[in-house]
Amino acid sequence: MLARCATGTARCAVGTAFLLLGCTEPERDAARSLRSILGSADQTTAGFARADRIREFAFPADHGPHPAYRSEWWYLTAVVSTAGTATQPSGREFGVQFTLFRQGFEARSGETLIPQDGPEAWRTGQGYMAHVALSDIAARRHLAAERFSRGHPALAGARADPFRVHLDDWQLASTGDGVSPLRLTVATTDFSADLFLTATRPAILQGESGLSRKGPDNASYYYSVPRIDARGELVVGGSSHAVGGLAWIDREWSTSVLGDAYQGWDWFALHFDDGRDLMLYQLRRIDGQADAYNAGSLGDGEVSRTLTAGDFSLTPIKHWRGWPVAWQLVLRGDEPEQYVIRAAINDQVMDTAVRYWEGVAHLEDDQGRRRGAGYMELTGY
Amino acid sequence: MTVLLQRSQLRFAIRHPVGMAASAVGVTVAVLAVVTVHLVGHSIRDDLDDFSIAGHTHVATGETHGESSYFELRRRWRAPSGATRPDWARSVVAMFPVIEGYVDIRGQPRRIVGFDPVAASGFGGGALTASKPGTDYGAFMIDDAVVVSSATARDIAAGSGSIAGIPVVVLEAAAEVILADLPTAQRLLGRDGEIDAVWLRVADARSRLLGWLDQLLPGIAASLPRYTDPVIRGFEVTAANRWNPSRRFADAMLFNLGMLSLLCLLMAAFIAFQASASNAARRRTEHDRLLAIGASRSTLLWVSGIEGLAIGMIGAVAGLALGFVVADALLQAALPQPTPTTANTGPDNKPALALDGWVVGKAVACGVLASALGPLADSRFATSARFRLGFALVAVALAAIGLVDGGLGAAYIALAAICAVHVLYVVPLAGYAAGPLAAMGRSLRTRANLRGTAVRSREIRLALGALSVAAAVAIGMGVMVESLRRDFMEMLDARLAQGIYVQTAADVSASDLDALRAMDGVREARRYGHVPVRVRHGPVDVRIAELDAYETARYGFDGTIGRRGMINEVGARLLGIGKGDVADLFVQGRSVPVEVAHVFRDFGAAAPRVILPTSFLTELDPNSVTWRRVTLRADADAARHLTATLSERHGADRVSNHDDIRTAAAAVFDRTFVVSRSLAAMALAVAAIGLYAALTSLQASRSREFRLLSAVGHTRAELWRLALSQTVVLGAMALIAALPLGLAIAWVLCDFVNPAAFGWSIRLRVDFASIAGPLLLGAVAACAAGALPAYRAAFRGMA
Repeated sequence: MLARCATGTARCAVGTAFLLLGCTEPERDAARSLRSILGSADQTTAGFARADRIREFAFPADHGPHPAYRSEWWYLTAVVSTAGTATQPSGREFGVQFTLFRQGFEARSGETLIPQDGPEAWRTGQGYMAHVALSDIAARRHLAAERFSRGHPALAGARADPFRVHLDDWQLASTGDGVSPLRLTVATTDFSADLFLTATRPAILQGESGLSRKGPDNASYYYSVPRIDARGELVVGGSSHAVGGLAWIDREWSTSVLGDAYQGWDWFALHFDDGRDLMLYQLRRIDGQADAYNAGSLGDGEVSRTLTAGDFSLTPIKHWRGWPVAWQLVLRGDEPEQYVIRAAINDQVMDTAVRYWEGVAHLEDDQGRRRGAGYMELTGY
Repeated sequence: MTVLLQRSQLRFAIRHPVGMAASAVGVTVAVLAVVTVHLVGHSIRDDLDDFSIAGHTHVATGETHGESSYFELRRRWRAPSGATRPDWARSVVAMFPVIEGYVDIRGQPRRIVGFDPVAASGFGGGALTASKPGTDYGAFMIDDAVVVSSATARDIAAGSGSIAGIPVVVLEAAAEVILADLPTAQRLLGRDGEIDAVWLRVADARSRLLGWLDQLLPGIAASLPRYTDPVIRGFEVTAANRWNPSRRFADAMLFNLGMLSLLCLLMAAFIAFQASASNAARRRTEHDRLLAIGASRSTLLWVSGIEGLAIGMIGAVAGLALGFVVADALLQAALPQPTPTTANTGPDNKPALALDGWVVGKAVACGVLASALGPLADSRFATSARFRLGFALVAVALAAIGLVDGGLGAAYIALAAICAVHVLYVVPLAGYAAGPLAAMGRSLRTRANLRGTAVRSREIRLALGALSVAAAVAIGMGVMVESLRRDFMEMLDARLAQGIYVQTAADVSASDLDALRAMDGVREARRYGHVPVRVRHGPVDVRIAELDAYETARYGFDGTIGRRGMINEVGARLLGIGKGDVADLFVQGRSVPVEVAHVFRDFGAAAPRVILPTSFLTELDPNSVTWRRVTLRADADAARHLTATLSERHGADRVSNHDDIRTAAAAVFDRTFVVSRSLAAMALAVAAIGLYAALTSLQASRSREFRLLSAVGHTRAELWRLALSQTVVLGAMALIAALPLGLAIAWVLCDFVNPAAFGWSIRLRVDFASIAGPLLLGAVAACAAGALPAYRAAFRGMA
């Protein structure tokens, strides 16, 4: 009672943003719109470098972090399956996603980030968010987990050479001299994945030599490693599965990806059975108009063609709880192609701080025959 | 038939506007009580919840204070499912490293808490977008930034923007403690690479269940065991509210509020039931007629239900609106008055009242369900003697267990049990006492009336019980508050003898002290040191002073202190020690044992405090002691003159006259109990309205008796006095019964609840005003409640 009591009963005593964090439901309350983190009309972009011109990519350095830019991610998706059996010739199919997001709290000069030891180790000025997910297509279940940490040598970070990105014990790291081969090790309370990854095709620069425009004033630096052989072991539901398949790595960094006119994007990374690799994204404008900055790439390992908005169309043909889980895809050109991209299972929602849909999708021709598989991402819904 | 029923309904409503209005008012008051309690309770709860930094629920203290202990614990927490994953990991949803201590800001030791906000809460809460004005997450994470209150910000600015000689970026917010990023706090405390503990946020099934319960009765879950405490090898894990003084204090406050809420809720349910039951009783004759002409019972039930629904909705809407007004007024009354140091924090600190689904739902549920279904609650089972006896035995057992246990929750269970027994047995017994009294009546009328009183006390025992309990609670709280107030004022008188208190910007040397002693009017000057010291679980406020007879007497100790120390009640309770025991203080990693010579009262202190004689200086590292507090003894006239002189020298906000401190403390004390007193008064008012409803139906049932008395020559005025006297006797019986219950409540509050909740012991001192006030209020309420029904029975009942 007395002074402290009066303080307690009548006055907001300790009401800062930090104190209120997690006072109710933990991360759920902190769910934020994608644009609030990746948008441009925000004071936290001040001082950060912007992706506004074509630059020379240099590997392996560009596999590492770019702290001069505010946001960055390492995105690995894989569609793998067990060996075929008499009853299930194509094997049991799984999808694996691992994403490490980096977010700078303050602009840092230079393009590399070397964690310091001692007291400075806490002051990398970086925050990391990791998402991992496993889609068990046969069991029609999607399991996901999320972690946060500040940058710290003992907690989370990224480096180019030898390549390693990690948050606690979730990590994607090279096992040899170069960036490939890689090993992904993640374990949650529900599942674990231990995949060995070998790139079978070189990295391709998306957009204009790696400058991927997302609107008149926004862009990111974006490259992909489109076809990676993935082999390893998944443990889910107490059962271990030896799996093999194809993976895709996307790397992107920027300071403002999404302009005020946009509410999200639909993104696809698909492996055709005929050996081609397709990446497409379409930006969804708030006014519902088609966007001129929709883009993609189509390659076969030898030649990679940049796709612009006029080269393709994506039309949703089925919705599940508001998520467009099936799309009509038309690739225009001398020999137009028409496909359906369909979610392998509808519920692959990432119910994380930033809520989005990310999961395995199948590519079908107009006869309903499977022509490929990959990952679909739907944001801003 | 339907048209007939509708006409009948309307005709009845028009002919009995007072009765219908009484039903609506009864429901309105019930809803008002529920809504007010919800809004005030949640507003206070939300404010007090802020004491939990980043929502932590547990503190894990390792064997060492290195950062590696946090990394190791985090690794174990993150272990995948299987044999390596410990059981405790499942319920822990977040963990973050923390360092705590005190930093000196213009002579005032201020608690600083450093933690890792990303580990605590990810990127949420405006973390990355800096959406909250005044907080710059980037600066917080990168620069030497601190989040502080406006007053602390001013002090830091006056000190050239630095803490411990290190320039800091000040982020102003309504912060009670100084918050900083972990490495910043490590630097300011001079403890690079160290942490004190790992704070955990635990969420399990029990905590979720209690979260729902807390929505129903705000504060009720605060001091209940909310979690299954994690057991972590190599770490000592304690619930945050056990060690964290602020959290513990807040929980106790909330729980006390929760119990008052429960009382109001019970009263509200009771009044809604009484209003509904009285309405049903008034309609009985009309319903009999309708049944006679062919209406079915189910039809009548429907009609009554719809009418109840309408009354309930009106009551819900009106109660909701009034509840907002009353809650706002209560919170305004409890707001501290602006002072020079808090003047700019007023508007931001006014608690917000939110119209959420819970409050609307509770209002509608209370209004509609209670009025529509109220009569059904009067089950035969609840009134059976066997049930009452069983219930009473269980209640007595609970009371005994509660008082032996000594815990806060148990103490309240004991209180509830005592109240239940009181309603079931003591109040009816008081009513029965009217029977023997009847034999002493001089006239037949008096004897008949008293005999009737004894019989009728059983019929309305719930109403009388409610009035009695409400009055008893008011008595109990009043006695407890007055006892605390007297103890508090005695403590102030002892501590704040005539003089002046000064906080200096720099250390006061011995020569400075001599200079102060040489000032005109100064009879004595003393300086007080502060040193950063820890016990096992956290920092402790340790003061150094010349503990001679005068100084120890200020703390109620009569003797020679020697090489011993004094600890306040809060500290003694937290550490589980008493007089003669040894407290282990840690100074820069070294243990300094201190024998406790005296446990002193420290009302208002939520944190442990230790006072040591200067002979301990050598063991406490003299370089870490700051001497920035001075008290001067002077006569009243000289004190005023000295205050003015010293204010010019040190700044007005650094100099306080002890008389002013005492006056301000008393004002804060009174303001603090505005909400509690108001809720108790509200319970009394609700009980009175319930009593009115009960008496209305009771007196209505006496119309035949009054016709008979009228036929034998009694005037209507005599009949009114007759009816009123019965009401007065019933009310008096209930209030007499309230007296022992009120004293029992005061005893439990002083001897069990306060020590358990706040660590303060209070000497129970019964005063006349604390007893007479509620009794008088209860008597007025009972008379007011009985006057109109008696008048109607005597006059209209004859029509």
